[in-house]
Amino acid sequence: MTDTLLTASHVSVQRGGRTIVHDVSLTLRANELVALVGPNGAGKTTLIKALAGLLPARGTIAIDGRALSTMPAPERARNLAYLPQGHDFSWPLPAAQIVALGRYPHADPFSRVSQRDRDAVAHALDITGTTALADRIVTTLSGGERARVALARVLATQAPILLADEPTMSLDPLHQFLVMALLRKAAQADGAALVVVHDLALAARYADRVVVLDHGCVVADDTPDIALSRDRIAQVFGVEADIVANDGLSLPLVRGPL
Amino acid sequence: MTSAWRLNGALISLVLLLILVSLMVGPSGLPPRTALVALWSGDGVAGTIVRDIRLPRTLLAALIGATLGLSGAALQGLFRNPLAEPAVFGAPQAAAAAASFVIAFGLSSATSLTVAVAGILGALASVGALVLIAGRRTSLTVVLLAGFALASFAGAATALILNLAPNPFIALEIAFWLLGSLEDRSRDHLLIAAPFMLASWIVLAMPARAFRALTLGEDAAASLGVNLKRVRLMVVGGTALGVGAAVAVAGAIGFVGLVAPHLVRRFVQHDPARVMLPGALAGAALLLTADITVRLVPSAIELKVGVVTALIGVPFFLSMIFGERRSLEGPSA
Repeated sequence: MTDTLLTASHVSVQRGGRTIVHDVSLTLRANELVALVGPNGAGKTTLIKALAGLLPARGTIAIDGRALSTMPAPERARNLAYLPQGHDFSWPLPAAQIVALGRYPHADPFSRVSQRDRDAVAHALDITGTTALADRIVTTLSGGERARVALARVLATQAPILLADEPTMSLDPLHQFLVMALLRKAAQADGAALVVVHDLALAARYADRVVVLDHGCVVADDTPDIALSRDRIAQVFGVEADIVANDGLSLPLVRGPL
Repeated sequence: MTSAWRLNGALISLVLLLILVSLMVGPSGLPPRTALVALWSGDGVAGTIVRDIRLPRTLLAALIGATLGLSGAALQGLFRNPLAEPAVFGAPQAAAAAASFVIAFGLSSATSLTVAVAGILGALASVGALVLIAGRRTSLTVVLLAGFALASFAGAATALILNLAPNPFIALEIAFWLLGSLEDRSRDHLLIAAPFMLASWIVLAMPARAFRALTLGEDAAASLGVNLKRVRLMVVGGTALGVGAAVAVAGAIGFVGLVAPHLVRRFVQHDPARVMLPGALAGAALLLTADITVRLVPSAIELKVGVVTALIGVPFFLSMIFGERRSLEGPSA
């Protein structure tokens, strides 16, 4: 018996008169990390933004059985944390201040910082290995450091649901593993994470379930070995892949275009 | 935290000192003691000079400077960019155009509430149009180009009004007033503008925490519970109220909103929320200094304070653009 944290049913999103996401239904259950994969332009970012309540969408999105659209913004933000693409910061703030922004939805009307806030920030810095960077200016950090600070910000909210849009983009292999491992760990603490990933092997290695999006439609929603079969990868991505057994997992290894 | 309070304390002392200096300086110089006594008792010629002539002017300089500093800091927080400022968005120019329309066609005298309301509506039109044009995911280039267009349009509208003004004396009055000056401003001017400016402070300061969240970008800020529509509305409304009222009584004074927050930003670790208060105080100090300077420079006709702030502010703006070249060249800021 698994707990469902987030349910999306028949979600469609239109942007600029074009339907980008078509009738998507998916669920996020407790303790699972779900990878969202698909070719460029499949609608992954649009879908994840809609799930985060940032875009108007048809259909229903519910957290714990309550409709997202009727939930007050601070309450939604305490339940659902969203990490956008890019990790750019507009002002050269110290990393600790960026991470503290994760506590924004928890602030009292007088915006005092509570001990719980301080603990959450310290914990987020600790698990992402960014404690030593706390006083550094974010805009001077390397790509890998910035990605970890951005992740720490999301984790500091301590929201059960995490939505991350390409958190491993432009990271070296070690940082890709670090970021995915952190997201999985966060999900396994009674949370759930939906992560947009481009590297299919990375998705297969870390995800409990893989949702494959193509032209705005879900074409597969299953365990990695089934969702990322040779045939499906050929059909959706137009590439030829070998399925390699490794650590008891079946990892797709892309060989080249069909 | 403590360093921020030390900064604010220092700035408050500076503003108080400049207020005192401003009460002393003028065609008849008064020593500090005499100025203070005259302010307190209001007796004699010194009392008239200090209370009726210099005090309204001084308080207006402090209030307008603070309003411009605060609206600059708020616009910078909203646009996530240090180059945002009311004058760059054409707000004072549009307020001046609207106010001169009212005066030129005899709809109102120069010291009435109608002028203030016209100024506010003018500023609202320009800042509102800018936010509408820029929309979401604002690239700095789009914002600056749109601001340039709006400022030029407001300038052209003012030129048209001067052109069509029914009599040359009104045209002259408008021209002098457009240059931005605090000369001969009375208690009436103060009473017209102050309530709007004080209201603008409240409206502009409310979204301070949202500005900090906006450091992460608009999507992330919205996901944290920031109501972007409300924040935009407050910044546009607050800027229009404050700048519109300021322009209605003192004419177009630009670039204080750009320079003031920039000077104090490093002392608050570039925090867009904590820069608001010192930015406002620095704005008050800057405009007081500029207004004292125009009274000290020996010349037959008093220099206009708006001319001084523009002469200093525009090169400052250019040097900041120079520093931001990379983000201006990129696809978005």
